[in-house]
Amino acid sequence: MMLTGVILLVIFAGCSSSSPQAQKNPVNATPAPSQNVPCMEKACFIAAANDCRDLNVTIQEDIGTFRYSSSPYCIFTKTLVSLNGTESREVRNLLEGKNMTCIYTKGKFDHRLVTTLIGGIEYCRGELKDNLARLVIFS
Amino acid sequence: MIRGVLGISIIMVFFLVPVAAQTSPSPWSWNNYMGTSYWDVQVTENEASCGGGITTDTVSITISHNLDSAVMGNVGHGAAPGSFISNNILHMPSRTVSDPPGSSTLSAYDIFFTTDCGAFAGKYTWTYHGPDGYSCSGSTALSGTTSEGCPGVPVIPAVASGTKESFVAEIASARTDLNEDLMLRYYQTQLEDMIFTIDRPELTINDPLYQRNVVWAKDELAAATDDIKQLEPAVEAKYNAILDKDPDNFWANWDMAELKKVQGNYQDYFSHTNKALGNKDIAKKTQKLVKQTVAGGLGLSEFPTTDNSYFIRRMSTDAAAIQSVYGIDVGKGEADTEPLRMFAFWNQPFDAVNVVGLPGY
Repeated sequence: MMLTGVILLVIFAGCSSSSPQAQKNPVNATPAPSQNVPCMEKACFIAAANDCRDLNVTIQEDIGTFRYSSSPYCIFTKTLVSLNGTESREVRNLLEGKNMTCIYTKGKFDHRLVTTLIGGIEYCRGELKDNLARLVIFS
Repeated sequence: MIRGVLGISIIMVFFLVPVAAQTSPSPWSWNNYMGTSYWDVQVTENEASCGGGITTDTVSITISHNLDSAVMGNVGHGAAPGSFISNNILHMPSRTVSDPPGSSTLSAYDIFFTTDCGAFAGKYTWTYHGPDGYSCSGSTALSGTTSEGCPGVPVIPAVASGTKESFVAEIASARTDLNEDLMLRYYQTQLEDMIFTIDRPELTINDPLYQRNVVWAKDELAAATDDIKQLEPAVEAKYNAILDKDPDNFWANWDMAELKKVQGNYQDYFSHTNKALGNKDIAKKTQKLVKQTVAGGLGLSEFPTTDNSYFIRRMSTDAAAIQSVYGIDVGKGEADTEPLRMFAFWNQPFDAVNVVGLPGY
């Protein structure tokens, strides 16, 4: 039983795990976008996440490509799919393909999770968060 | 007291080798000793991937013991500081050393002492980085022996209160207990995550395995929470005893900050962090140490900087614009130690505490 539980704990410690620490920063709600317009922009995604709607978007930015996901359970996942080519292979290995998961309260999604690299990550879990937290010493 | 330590050791973070299981009780514990031990060490260097071969030499070294911490003399990569993670296991953190004309990054490793004080063994890997971009890896195995036996007086010699030695001993003792608490807190968080994920009617309603695992996780969580409730007042009392004598002490404030963070007391977390960073010289030296340790732990051959990395440049811009963390207005720190302050904001508490080392390093 203990071993089974430990194995399960290891599995859930990965990217799929969600933080029970609800976000405490109040964030002004953004009006919901039209349901009929495909959501491919940050503002649209932020609004959908704020409503805890099920949505996945991949956005190419100046620094690289990110995938953002929100769910009806108010779980946000951010994946750094790829960095743009000028970064060193070592930094790319640390960050590409890594993700983090953050749980929040409906109506209080922290837009900084989408609009910045490190804003709001204190409430997140995952390898992307851990490596960002380590790399900040070099900033 | 620590439940599920095996689970923690699988998950545990990267700076330090996961905590090894406790050895069975022995009549001698190196982590209770203050003094010097003397060793002959067989050093086996494997440089095959670097165009060399496998060589073995014997060197005579001393180890300077200070209860939970020790410094091992030079076996080829300079003197090495470490911390005892159990009675007779000395953990050496990863570090980068000058290795002219380049540098070498050494992995973290453990030194295992026998309980009769007659021998120890350990092994680490290293990667050499040359100035022209060349790199290669190898390993160093250590096998130490001594005919000195266990030191005659195992008890901690009395030291005058208020001396540097007594202060280091107090910090080391408090940190040992804090590390135990932080492991429990980490385990607690992992269990809460697991329960949040699987304790859903749509998953458990027809699946006995999910139901059993929810029950197991909740039982473990209750036990870990009880252990924390018993342990934390004693941990706080140790740090408060140090802070009563030295309210601005860097290490006591730094450690207490992480304790407050896991308790969710963010105002006190920032208060203690700011007090620690008020020791500007120590903070600057610590920041330099943390950079080296992080670079070594991440396998970086050079520091990424705002000059050579667009990602770091963007991160620096974002960090400068951060106004609140944990819902608290963080203001602006001192420019030359701001990276250390932000490192403390977001890193796992166990890493943040142990990466700064003990006084004197």
